[in-house]
Amino acid sequence: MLSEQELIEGCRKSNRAFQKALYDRYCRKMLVVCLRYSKTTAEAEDILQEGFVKVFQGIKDFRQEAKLETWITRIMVNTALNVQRKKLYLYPMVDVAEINLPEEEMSISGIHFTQLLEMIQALPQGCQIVFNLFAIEGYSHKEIAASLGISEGTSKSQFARAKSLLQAKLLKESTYYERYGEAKI
Amino acid sequence: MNDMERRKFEDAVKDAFSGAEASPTETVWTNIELDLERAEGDKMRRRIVFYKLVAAASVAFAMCMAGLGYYTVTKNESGVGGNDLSINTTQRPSGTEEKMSSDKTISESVEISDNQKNISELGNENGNGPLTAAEERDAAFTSETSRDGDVLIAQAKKNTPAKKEIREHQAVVKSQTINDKDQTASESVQLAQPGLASVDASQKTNHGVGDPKTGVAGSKANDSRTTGENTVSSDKSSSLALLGTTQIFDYKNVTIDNSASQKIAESDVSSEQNQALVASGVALNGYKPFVFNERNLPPFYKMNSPKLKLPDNQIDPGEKMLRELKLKEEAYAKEDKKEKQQQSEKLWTSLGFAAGGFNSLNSSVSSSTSASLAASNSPASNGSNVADKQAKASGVAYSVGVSMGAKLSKRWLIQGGVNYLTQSSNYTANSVVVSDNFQSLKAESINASYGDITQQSQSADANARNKNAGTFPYSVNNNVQFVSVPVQAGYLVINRKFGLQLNAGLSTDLFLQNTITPEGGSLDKTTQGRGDDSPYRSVNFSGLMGTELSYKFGQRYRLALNPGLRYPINSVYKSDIGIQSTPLTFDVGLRFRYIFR
Repeated sequence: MLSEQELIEGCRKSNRAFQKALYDRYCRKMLVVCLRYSKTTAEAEDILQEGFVKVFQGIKDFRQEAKLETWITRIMVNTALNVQRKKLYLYPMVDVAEINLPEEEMSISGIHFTQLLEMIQALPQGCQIVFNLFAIEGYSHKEIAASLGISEGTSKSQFARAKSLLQAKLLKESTYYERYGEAKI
Repeated sequence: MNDMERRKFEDAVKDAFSGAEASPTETVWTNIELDLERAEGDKMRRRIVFYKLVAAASVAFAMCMAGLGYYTVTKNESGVGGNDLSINTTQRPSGTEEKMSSDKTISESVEISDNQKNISELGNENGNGPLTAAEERDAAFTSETSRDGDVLIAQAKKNTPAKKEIREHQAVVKSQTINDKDQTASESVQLAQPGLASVDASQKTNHGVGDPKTGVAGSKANDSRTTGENTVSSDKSSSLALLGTTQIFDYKNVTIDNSASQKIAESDVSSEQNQALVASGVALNGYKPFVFNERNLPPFYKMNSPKLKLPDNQIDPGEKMLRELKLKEEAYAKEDKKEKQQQSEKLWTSLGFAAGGFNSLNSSVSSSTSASLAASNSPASNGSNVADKQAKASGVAYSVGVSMGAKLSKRWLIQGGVNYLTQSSNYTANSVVVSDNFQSLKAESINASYGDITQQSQSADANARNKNAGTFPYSVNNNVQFVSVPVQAGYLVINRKFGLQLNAGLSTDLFLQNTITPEGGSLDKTTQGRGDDSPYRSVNFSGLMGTELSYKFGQRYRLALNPGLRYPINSVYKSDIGIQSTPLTFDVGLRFRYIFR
């Protein structure tokens, strides 16, 4: 198995075999990242394709200060944001009313990621992006606001809305489980 | 619910996705490959375009250099060997059809009488006989009459078409000055400069097509001759090549004033030429030159763009998106610019060496200097000849130096430095300078004769003065050394890994010394420094011009090839000795550049 360094060196020389090896190693993880930012699998694959082209074109400038996977993930997120940004221009995000979150935090320990993914994909466009950036990528609301060209308050309110919607879905899911006793996945 | 609990939810979501994987379809990789290949193709295409540009720039530079060299050589040759050229011209054999007889080159005096305005040619020995109507018209059109009665005619000679299929007519320029003080004819054409017509074509072509003159002003001028109302106006030089006919016109201030309200704008001259050519195309064995006529597109293509009407308080989302995208693009462009600025070369130093040759053929020795040298030297000596040979000697030039450069803007830069410059040439002398009663024998040179030229040693004791003694011819090496301080402005044509730069500037050349080294060994080697007793100027100025082809390797290094020209603005010799020497130097330098930042 090729080491990360060998993969990088091979890709820097535009060696197609090394590029394919790098793609094979990271494409599955990256598809999940892309799926989180898109509504459909086809859309996610488009982002994945565009993202990997950027990876291969930009790997010459990769300074290896971060892990390769982190760097690729960042490229995928940026590519997804670029794609989604166009939609956000058409449907700009606005402040949403504060929703009172339930006192108890819903547990997601037993939920499979595909279920969670479906829930995230079902979120409104703005909420989906802000939730991904804040909860999963770990960006602050300030950074999100700067990145998306919205106010910090908008970012916060969008996240709160996303979270409440998710929790509502999770609650629905757990009620269904308790009532019918079906396995989740 | 506190912050800790909130964070738990987010961490749980993060964890749920931490090891998550999903397989994409096969088409994704296929599309990536296609995209990569397309990008590589674009890159290759850009590279090809880049190399084409470089090749074009190199060819242009080479042609400029060749042209300059040719000009310099021909200029010098015409000055030196002008007599030979004239002898060859007059000795050209006559009687054959392929070669023009020498008589064809004889300038003819043509006089136009006030009333008849016909051109009588003297010395027409081609046997062409009297001019045909078309020829007369051509001749009339090629003659330009000035208002004050001076007419300059540029007329081309032609061979008879019946004699041969393909002819080579040597262009004969005949400047014919005609005094016509009573010139009040309607055809009033002013010519600010002498016209030059060069014809190399069969007579048939001339007759059939008519020349561009006929096209431009032919029919109109012809009419105007009879009506006497037209004046031709054009401020334009035109050149046209058609079916082997090459004619060069140099018109200035030709005015057409058609009384029949037919005004021809200057910009329409070329279209007039085309129309005239088309009109005369029938006589060209059916040849009709293509003339592009602009035609309007049918109104079908003029579609109005649809207009969307939105409520007043609502912004068009598409427009908003475009505006936002534009802002984003500008932001990205700013970032790119900033990055590029960080990567660009702003300050550098370089170490270089250059080698080339110089040509002093345009140097001259004044007659007074020649006379004074001839008078002061012995009969066996040929002092003026040596001064001439030394001043006009061509040789090799070397320079080595360091320089500093700084970028002023994206494309402009300034660079300067210090160079040690040496120019070495050889000349032949046939006498020696004897001084101190034969205690020392020196090679004959301008240095040795400087006192004689400037009369500085005239008052000294006659026995102590230098004397010349004749010898067998021997070779003398003349070496001049300078410290040069160039300052050049540069323009970056290409500023990438490969760089192309154009430089021009001035150089202050401080004279160090001149060494005269006679070959053989029996004569003393002499060195002349700067000062009052030196024939050389201490400070000289030269114009510099050149290019720099460079290649960047690593972050901080660049290797450059510098072909360049150096031309002295003043003579290296002092003005009082009457020798003008301005050697044109062409050298190619190799420079190693270290980039500070």
